[in-house]
Amino acid sequence: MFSIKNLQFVFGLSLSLTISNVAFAQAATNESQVSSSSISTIPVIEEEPPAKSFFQNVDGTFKTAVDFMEHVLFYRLGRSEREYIVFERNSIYQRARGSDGPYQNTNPQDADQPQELSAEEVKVLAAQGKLIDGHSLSGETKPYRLGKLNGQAVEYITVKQDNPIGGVSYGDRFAFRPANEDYQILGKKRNLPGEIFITQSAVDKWSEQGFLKTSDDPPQGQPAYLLSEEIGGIPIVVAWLALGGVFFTLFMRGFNFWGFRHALDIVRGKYDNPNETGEVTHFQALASALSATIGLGNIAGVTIAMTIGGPGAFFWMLLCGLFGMCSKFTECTLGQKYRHVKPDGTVLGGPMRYLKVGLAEMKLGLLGSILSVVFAVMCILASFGGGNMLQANQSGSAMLQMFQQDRLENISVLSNEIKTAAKAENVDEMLALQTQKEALQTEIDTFENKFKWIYGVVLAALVGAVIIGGIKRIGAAASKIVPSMCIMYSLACLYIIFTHLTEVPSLIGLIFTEAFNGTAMGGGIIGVLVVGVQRAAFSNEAGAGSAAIAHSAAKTEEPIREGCVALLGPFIDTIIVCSMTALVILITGAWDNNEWTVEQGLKGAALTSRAFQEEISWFPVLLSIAVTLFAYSTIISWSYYGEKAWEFLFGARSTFIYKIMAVIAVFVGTIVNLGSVLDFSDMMILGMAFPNILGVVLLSPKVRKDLQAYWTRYKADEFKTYK
Amino acid sequence: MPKLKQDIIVVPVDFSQESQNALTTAVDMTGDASKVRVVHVLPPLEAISPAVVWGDLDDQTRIDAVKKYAAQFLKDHGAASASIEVRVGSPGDEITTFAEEINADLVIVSSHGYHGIKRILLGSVAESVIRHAHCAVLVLRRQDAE
Repeated sequence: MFSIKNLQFVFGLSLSLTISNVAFAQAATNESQVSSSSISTIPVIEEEPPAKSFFQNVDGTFKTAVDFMEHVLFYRLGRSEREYIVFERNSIYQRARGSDGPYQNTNPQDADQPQELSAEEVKVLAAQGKLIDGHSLSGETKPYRLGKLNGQAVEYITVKQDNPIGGVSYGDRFAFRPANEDYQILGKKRNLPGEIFITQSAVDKWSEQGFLKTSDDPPQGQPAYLLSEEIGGIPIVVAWLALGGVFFTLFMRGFNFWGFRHALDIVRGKYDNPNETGEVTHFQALASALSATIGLGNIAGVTIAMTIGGPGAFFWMLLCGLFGMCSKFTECTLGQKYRHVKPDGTVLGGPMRYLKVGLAEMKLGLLGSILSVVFAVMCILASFGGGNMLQANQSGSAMLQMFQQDRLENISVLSNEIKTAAKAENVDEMLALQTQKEALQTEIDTFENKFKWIYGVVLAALVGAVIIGGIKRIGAAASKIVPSMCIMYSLACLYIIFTHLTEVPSLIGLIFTEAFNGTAMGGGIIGVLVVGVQRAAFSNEAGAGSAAIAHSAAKTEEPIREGCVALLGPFIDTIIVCSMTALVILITGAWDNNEWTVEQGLKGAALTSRAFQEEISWFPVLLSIAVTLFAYSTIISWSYYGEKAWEFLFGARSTFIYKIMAVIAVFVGTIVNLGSVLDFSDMMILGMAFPNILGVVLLSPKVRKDLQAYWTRYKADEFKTYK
Repeated sequence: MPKLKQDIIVVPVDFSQESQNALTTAVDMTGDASKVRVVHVLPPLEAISPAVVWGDLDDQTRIDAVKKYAAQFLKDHGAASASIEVRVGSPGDEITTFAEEINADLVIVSSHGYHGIKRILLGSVAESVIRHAHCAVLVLRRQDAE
């Protein structure tokens, strides 16, 4: 019954499969008589999900906000529509709610499927991961969901069935190819097109049998199974950031290159005059700004970019880091130029100041006021989200993983054993293993709940002690560890790189070739570029304007000088530290590792950690500690940004309200998994780029003029040196 | 009613336009700036500011800076002979504590006349001073207040 019509060799290597009408006609006859009329009589169960918790409701609200933001900030210019289908063959079984009896198949003519499933059989299916997740009732995850069938309260399970022929599995997606009028499979890894093709008549058959996912309200004249998604194009915010970086680099005539040496001299303290106005030295300002950016972006961000966009994405990250240097230079020069020095010698500077004061100077006062308020609001939200909750959440997970390592490994051992037992069709063995796995999972969940509460309280207390309690030593100590942690991390990377030195040239070659051939995502270089730019922006925050707040505190009377220092930020963050991670990910092949990325579902920091483990077995422990310290110092630094934005909006004496909210955010961020809340606040960091870059572009002629004047004086040796 | 004693007058100053008015009023009333004790209250140092985390900024440095700034401010407003006191903490408390310590006869405070969110968030220093001061308090209405 397994028949392949077109068995052809593409490029003499890969096997191409076309499932055709013929194959299906045969399959259908064998699978008893499934006709469209019998399908339509299958009763439909209406889902009755349990009441949402408070946090889920909060998350739901943010989901709406996230969707809205995606349409605005991430509106894709030049996108195109792709039509696709999803293979979802469901067998649904139900029983009366509260009963212990077997489940009945809702489809009396479900081909090759049993009409009844006992609780044990359900357990076996659950062990194999063949059930759609059940509802969570009073804290316990059930295998079933609650629903209503013809007015009766039932509990039901949905079995995910693969297609018996053609190697098509549940959830496989196929893109419609209008030219060939057929459908091509999209792989689980980066949506790469695979070598299985489905003809239209086969799809019609699937549709008749109810094997395809359908949309609730299909566009008129389109079959309900034909779904569509937007692909390609450049999100506005990404274009904005990239164009900003390119513009500043051109307008400053490549100052990131010719100003580099001077920048190093300044950081070394060559021009540090202790009597100049400000709070910190150039080096201290840079360290402060870096402690806000170094962290998850460097450890998790690069890995995310490469798993989504392939090695080529890293090329665009690098390029973005290079151009970002001039964005940073321009915004931080402005931060310094328009800072407000208070009578006690402390300063308030940053985008909210230069947007307001700088644009007012240009007779754009109204625009400036609006932009500065929008910026300040986004900055506060970003400081709660990407700068706080996200950090707390991710560091909590990293620590948890460290403590649970043995249990998690046991779980994956058990899963593998279950798979082996399933192959051998050994039901008793599977049941025994599944019982073990469930017990272990309960242990893991219980530990996780306890751990997250404790971690949340401890971290919130440590943050509170510094930002509310004013205990200076904790914050100072944690932040001062960051540079050494960063060096330690880089050394570990270098060790791995040197032990694989011979592979490095070809891997670097891969970064460059993949950047331009666009095969990594199966969708041109634009997709790869977008991923790279986005991740780089999250990592070095160039264009977001946040660092300008920290840099404005530097002791200097020369704004250009602090701008020079600031341009080292993206260089260190993206070009040095991110490259280290990137090479490790390439050497270990983690970005393309099926077992890790698809089967175990590892991503971001967890995948980086797994990659390190391959080379230095004990390193993940150190990495978890590093992630936690990075996260802590990022929270401290971002709270400072948020507080300054708050001060700008509401005055210095009310910042205690901000501080209390920040401490609560740390705790909430740790204990709950609020996907949408985190997404929303993460977007805010990119959102800051809108008002900021617009204002900075308008103000950039002033910076260029200042730069020319400064450089003339520098060349004439007019600056006094101190070291 | 006996005449209000005006030998020691405390004037809280935050260097705003409003506090300049308070200072001028005090000088006019006494006719002698040396009777005026100007006080400025600094918010506590932020433990998360780069200056504290990375640098070595402390309250003394800030107090010295303010004193230097205030000396010029007093000179500019014809009150060079007034004394200046700088405190760190919550404005309302520090002003009244200072007034009590030096046994002030009168506190002249300006009201910023904040409205809306700022009023809720910042509260009113003037109000707090009236409530806690042991001596007479003169509150100047904001010049442009309606």
